[in-house]
Amino acid sequence: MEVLDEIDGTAFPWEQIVRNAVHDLRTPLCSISFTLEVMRMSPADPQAQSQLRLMLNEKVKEMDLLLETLVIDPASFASKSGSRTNDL
Amino acid sequence: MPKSSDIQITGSIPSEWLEEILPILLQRFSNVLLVDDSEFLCTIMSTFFQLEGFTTSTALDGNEAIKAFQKEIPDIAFIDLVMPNLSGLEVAKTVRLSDNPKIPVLVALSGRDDEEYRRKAAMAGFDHFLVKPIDPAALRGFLASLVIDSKG
Repeated sequence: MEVLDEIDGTAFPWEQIVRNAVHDLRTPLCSISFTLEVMRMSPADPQAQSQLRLMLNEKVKEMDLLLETLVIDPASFASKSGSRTNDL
Repeated sequence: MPKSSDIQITGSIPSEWLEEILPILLQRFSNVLLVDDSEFLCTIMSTFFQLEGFTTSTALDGNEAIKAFQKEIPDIAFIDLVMPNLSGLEVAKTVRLSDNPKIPVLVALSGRDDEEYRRKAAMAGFDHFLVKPIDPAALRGFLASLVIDSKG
């Protein structure tokens, strides 16, 4: 990826930022995939479905927060991936 | 029977999974241990395995994992490499050094995919290496490979 900016003369690590952001977004996304699969596998349990919907909502909020952080502070994704999610 | 590389289990579950692969998996790997410091991931993956018919146990860090192995050796264990207290590598080394007659299949779960991590995992005693995050389709594909590849 082309280097677009510099901070204090240092190339802004866009490639690392994109790689880490993709990884961090995939983590809750896979949790959502598992949750949907579990909902599909146990359709007859309304209490479980309700609990699973809450879990889905939590993961959607997590993804939303990650996207917001990516827009406001992309440099925070340059550090080690996984610091912003709790699924690693 | 198809080769594992041919398996793409997405969307609806193919009949091969339910009729051929899952019954063999349940015979060989009925007892599954999941080790990850994410309680959410442990819970949802445990539920997934239980709904498939497996018996599961979970551990949220390396020390809990060692206790779980001491309590009962699973048939297969999925172990996160990076955890508080004791790493997945240390857990695998400890399990491999124990003189228990039952030898579990150890699967490393790693947030990073690089040669150094793969080499370290193999040296510690892991049989397989999966890169996180993993989705249900990829997990079923991996589990299918355990059955299909062993048949040649």
